[in-house]
Amino acid sequence: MLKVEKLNKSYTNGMNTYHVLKDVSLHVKKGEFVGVMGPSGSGKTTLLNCISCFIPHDSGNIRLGDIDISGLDERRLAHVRNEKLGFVFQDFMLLDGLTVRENICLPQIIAKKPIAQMEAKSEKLCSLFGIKKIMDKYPAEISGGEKQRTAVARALMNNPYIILADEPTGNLDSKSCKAVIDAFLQAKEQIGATIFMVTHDTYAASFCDRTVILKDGEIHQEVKRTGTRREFMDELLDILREFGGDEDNE
Amino acid sequence: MNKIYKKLQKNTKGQYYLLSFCVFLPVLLVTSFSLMYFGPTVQEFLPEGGDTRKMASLLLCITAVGCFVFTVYASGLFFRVKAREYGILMALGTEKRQLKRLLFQELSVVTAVSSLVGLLLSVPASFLIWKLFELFIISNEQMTYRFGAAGFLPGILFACVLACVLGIVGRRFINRSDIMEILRTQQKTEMVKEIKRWTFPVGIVLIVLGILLGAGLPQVAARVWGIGLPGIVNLFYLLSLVGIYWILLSAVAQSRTKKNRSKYYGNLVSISLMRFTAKATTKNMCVMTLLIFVCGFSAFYGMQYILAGGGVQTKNSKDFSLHYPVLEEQIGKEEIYDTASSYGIEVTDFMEYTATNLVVSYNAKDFNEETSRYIEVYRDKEMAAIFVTESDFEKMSRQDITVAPGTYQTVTATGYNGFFDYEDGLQEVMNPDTGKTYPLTYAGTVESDVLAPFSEPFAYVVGDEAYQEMTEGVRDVYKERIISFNVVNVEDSYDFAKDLLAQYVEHTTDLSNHMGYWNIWAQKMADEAGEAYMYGDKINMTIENNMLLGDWKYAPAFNIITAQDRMQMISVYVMLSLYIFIISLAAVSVMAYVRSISVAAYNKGLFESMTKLGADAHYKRTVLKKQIARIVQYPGIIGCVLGFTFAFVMNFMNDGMISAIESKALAILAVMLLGMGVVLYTVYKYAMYKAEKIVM
Repeated sequence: MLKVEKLNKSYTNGMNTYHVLKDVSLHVKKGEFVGVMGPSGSGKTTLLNCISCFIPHDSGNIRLGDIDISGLDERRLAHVRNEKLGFVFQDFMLLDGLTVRENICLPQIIAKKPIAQMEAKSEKLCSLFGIKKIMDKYPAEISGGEKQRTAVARALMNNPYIILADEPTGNLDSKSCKAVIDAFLQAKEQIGATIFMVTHDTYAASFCDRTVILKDGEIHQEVKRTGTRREFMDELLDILREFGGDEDNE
Repeated sequence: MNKIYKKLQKNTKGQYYLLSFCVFLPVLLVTSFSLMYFGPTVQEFLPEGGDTRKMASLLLCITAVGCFVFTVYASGLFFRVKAREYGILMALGTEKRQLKRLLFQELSVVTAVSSLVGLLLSVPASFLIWKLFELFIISNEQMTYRFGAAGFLPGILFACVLACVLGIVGRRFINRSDIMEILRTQQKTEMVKEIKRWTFPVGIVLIVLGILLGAGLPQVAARVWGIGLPGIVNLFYLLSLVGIYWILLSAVAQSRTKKNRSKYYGNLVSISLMRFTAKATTKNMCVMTLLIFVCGFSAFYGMQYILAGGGVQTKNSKDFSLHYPVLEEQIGKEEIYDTASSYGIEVTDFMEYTATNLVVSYNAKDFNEETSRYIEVYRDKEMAAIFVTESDFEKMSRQDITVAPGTYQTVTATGYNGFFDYEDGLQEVMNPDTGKTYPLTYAGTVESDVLAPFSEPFAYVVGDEAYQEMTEGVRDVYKERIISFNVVNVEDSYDFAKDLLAQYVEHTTDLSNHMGYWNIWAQKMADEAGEAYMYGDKINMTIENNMLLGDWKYAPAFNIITAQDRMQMISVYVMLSLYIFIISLAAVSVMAYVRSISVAAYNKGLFESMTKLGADAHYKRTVLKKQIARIVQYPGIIGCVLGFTFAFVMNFMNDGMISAIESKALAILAVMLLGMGVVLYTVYKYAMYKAEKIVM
């Protein structure tokens, strides 16, 4: 579903060049829930931004399904973001002036999809994520967990190849955090969604099928969940402890 | 601390420039207008308490309020940007008092410097604008630019009030004790309740109702019910204002749910840009609408004067006409011909005859101050009016008329449509010396712009025999000599006319030294009753007296002089009107621009979100365009339509018709409004260009 090969990204500040991503390669299969963790400055968010095409990369390939998104122009990139990618952000990025239903519909409104189909899909997603009763409320009137579930529903609106989530639980309390993770799991199990989640939250990462650990712009380790969620979380904690527990948000 | 603050200032210098500009521009515009308006040249021309002074002051006030609102609005933008800095500084322990001092220092410097620059530049600005007008309108050396320091006072006053209000807004901002509140100011949004579907149609009804009631009701009340309504009926115009607000609110933030779902979803995002700032935006747009209305109306007001300026010469007038008591040793045919020949002027159509003042009893309309009602009155032997014979009138006017015995014809000015005096009101005539009365009946109206201005309420024509009978035994004191003539090439006769006027004034005696409303019979009645006659004062009978021709019973009507004087007046009126037009247009342009940019700035985050959700540049541009177009388009359209409708209704209600001059003025107004549309379109394009830079 998502194939990243030898991805490099660097920033130049005056005479200094900082290599943020160094030959990063990874592969996410359809229906897989993959987490990315790592200490501050390890390149998690840069990796996500490159995959999202928000920033250009220096070299390497990013393939999404059968599309090589490395060389696309801005118009086609916009199309890919709209149709093939779904986004969930730490700060929700809901439009305050639109209701929950309208926010969920937004990707299809932008794509000018048929209205009946759009409304039916949004109803279905709201039912799936238990936010039907707040469909006509504005973001200011709902809780953080509800906002994030709205964002997950919105990300799934166009049946994307993959959902890219950037610290989706970063602004939430533990109860809301669980609700969002449940939403991801529901999406994965019931719609077969593929999820690629950058997080510093070990608890959230423990629900993933696999977690990629980044360090200094390189893949340090890939950990696959084999046992229970609890065991997986302990394993992740052990690895992160090696970094001195400093896996803060970038 | 000051160093840190200076660094912060440097970082937000764009906001300082914007605030300075929004103080500088209104001060410049208002002061340069007042320099011109209160300058000696204009003040000498405008009659005290006249309509034009009132209108110019009213339009200036509205414009000043408009300028005021947009400056305060611009300061709001400034405070929003400063909020974060202040919040952080306070959170880090800076005392509120310290910040308050810094803010006031800052505001004082910005306001003082901008106002001072505005005040100073207003002198060359008003001079340049005057010179510009000179190229097109002013054609007389008396209309030179003269500087009057008094013009600075309104500008200084305006700047002071502006500074005070900015101080109050700043004080309110800093007094918010809660740090979080200050920090939140930058993202503060207001929740708009759902806007009902009836808002738009009811808004339209209110606008129409406001104009009809405000402009039409007093006319209908006066003409149909005979009631004079008090000035408070002008409050009906407020209905129009409420209507405008509702229409704009509905246009800005109403998404008509689901009837046309494709349109609903198509407009959803652009409408959402406004959902939280709809009221503020709408208020802003209301002010813009009013200013555009002022623009249109002031242009129309000025234009009417230009067009009416050509109307001195009519088919019923003569180039020169004068009347004076026959007992006065005045200039006559000989002097006129001699003077004319000395100027190389050829006199034609010379006509000289005698008319007699007879006492008239007639029906008329009057206004009762106590009951505020118009009432029918019978004025029994209160005035004397001029009577001429049928044959003299025919010779003078070259009209062929027949006046049957026992009847009269009323002489009116061309196109007369009076309210208080009826053409058929005369019932009876009395010989002032013998006291004999003669009942007469109305037999029609004839037009003469020579005779009509010489007599109140009208001059009358009777048959030759009836005239002989009615004037038998009347002493010469009641008789007037009436002279009228044309000249070949009237446009070359200005010097001749001035000379003739000087001779005429020189020959006047106490017999003709009377105010414009003086009436020989009314004076006699007052004298006999031992009462003071209200129009019995004497006037300064010298050629230097500027007001002489305006308030003199026996003022001669020399069209070339009237036209010249009128042209000067027109220049002044047009200049004032056009200046208001320019000020309003400038204010509207700045407001539209600032609002458009702020929409883009406030919604920057939203556009970023849309980019991440896959909106391409075209989609984002469309969303931005729809909303910015609304900000500029709706006030533009409503203001123009309203300005045009108001001008139309006012003129129609005045006399129940639209004259040729008025329809020409309305047509030109329509073209000017289109021109204004072009200006607003340019502002929109520029604002769009800048806004795209912010969000794309």
